[in-house]
Order: sequence, then C-alpha cells, then structure tokens
Amino acid sequence: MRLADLMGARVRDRDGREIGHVSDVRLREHPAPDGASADTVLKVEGLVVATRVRARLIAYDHRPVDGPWPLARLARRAARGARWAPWPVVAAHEPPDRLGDLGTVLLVVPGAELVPLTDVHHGWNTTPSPGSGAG
Amino acid sequence: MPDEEADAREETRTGPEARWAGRAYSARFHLLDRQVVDGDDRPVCKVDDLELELDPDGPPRVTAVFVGPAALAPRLGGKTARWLAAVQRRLSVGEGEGPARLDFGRVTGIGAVVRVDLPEENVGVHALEDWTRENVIGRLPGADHASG
Repeated sequence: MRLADLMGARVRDRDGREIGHVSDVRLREHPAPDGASADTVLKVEGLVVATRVRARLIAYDHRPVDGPWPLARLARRAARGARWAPWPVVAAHEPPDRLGDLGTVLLVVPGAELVPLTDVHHGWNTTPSPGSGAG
Repeated sequence: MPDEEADAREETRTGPEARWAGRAYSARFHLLDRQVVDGDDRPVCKVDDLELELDPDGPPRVTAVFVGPAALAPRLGGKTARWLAAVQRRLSVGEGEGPARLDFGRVTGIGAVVRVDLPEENVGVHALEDWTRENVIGRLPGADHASG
C-alpha cells in the first residue's frame, strides 16, 4: 500500500454515503520494537477529510494558524467543514481500479460522528520536547 | 574541521530534525516532495511517495520512501499519471517495474529536509540517471574534462 492510495481518496461513511475526500494524512512516531534498525517507527494516526468538493484547505490543515489575522481568518475559512478521522474509524481502503483514478476509504462510523478538524488540531502547533509524548 | 562536522551531526540528532516518539507530521506538508539529503548534506532525491505496511492490529507503518517517476505517477491523477507511468516503463533500466525505495529505517531526521543515512556505495535510486551518465553523457566529446 502507498500513501498515494490514501491521498485524495474518496471517503464513504458507514452508510455508504460519500462525505468527502482525504486531504492529508497525519503520521506519528512510535517507539520501535526491540531489534529494529531505528529508535522509532512512523505510523498513520488519521486522515484529514475535506468535506467540500473543491476544498483544498490551502495547506493550512497540517496545523492551525494563529496569525497574522488575515491568514488566520483565511485558514479558519479553509478548514471549515474539514473533519478528522482517526485511523481506528477506518474500516477498509479500496485501491483504484486503474492508475490515476481515486481509491476509496470506508469508515465504520456515520460521517456526522467525525469531529471537526478545527476542534482537534489546536494542539498541533505545539512542539513539545522529546519524551513528553505529546505533539 | 572534523570536530565541527561531528558536532553538527550530533546537533542534527537532537535538534529540530530529530525523530522521537510522539512527534507528528503532516504527510503533505512535512514529507511529500521534501528534499532527501545524505549525512553530508548532498542531495539524494525527493520524497515522491511513502510505502505503507498494513498491520491488522494497528495503523499502517511507513516502511520506505518511494522515489522516481514510478512513485510520482499515481499522485498526479488521471491521464497524466498513466502517461508518466507508461514513459517510465519504456525508459526503465532498473530492476523490476516498481519504484526505487529507501528503507525508512535509514531516515535519521525530518525537518526542512529529510536526512538519510546511506551506505558509501549508495543505493540505486536513480538507475536511469546513472545509465544516462555512463552511456550518453560520458561518451560526449569533452566529457572527461567536465568540472565538478
């Protein structure tokens, strides 16, 4: 499986209703198991789902924008309607039928149960020190 | 200044590029299309895609950086993706049809650049480029006198 299979993929909720597309994939470092070649392993944490057809989120979905105010307002407007789908709510991923087409991500919950991105990404700006476990 | 270089590498391991448990990234902002450099800051390639290994008991794990046109094509979408993939297949001189991959265990830092720890002999991430240098550029008159 590739990251490209997820990026841009259509998102369907538990009822089969198309609720948007994957705008971004958030990843997080985890402690590596004993014997691994690196100290950490990088795993998918969840998907940013853009619910508007033409929403591009103008690259502000990776973190909230605190200022200057014109950019903050633009970012809030861009992220409006975006939803956060943590990986546990992802039931399956169907790859595209042919190269260049979009894949499909299936969720185990109704689309209405996904929390707004703006409710969860307020903490994404913080850069805690190594070992604090947050981020 | 070997000591200064060693200090700089040590700073990289604990600085803003360091990979530590709990650190999170946006795939689109922090990883895709980022420049990949080796331990001596020499450009290697760009992150064209990531290989994900599915885990039935948890989220997928990133196992490799995919590099080259075969990796980039699926991200372009539509006819452009199929055209680039077809051109890549026609020009392919590497082994197999899949994209070149860099084991993610070799990634030592993620920041303004993605830093990798490559062996001296490097890996064949640019098979077409290597072939062109040896068989086309290298045979041009005066190629032996090129600087750099």
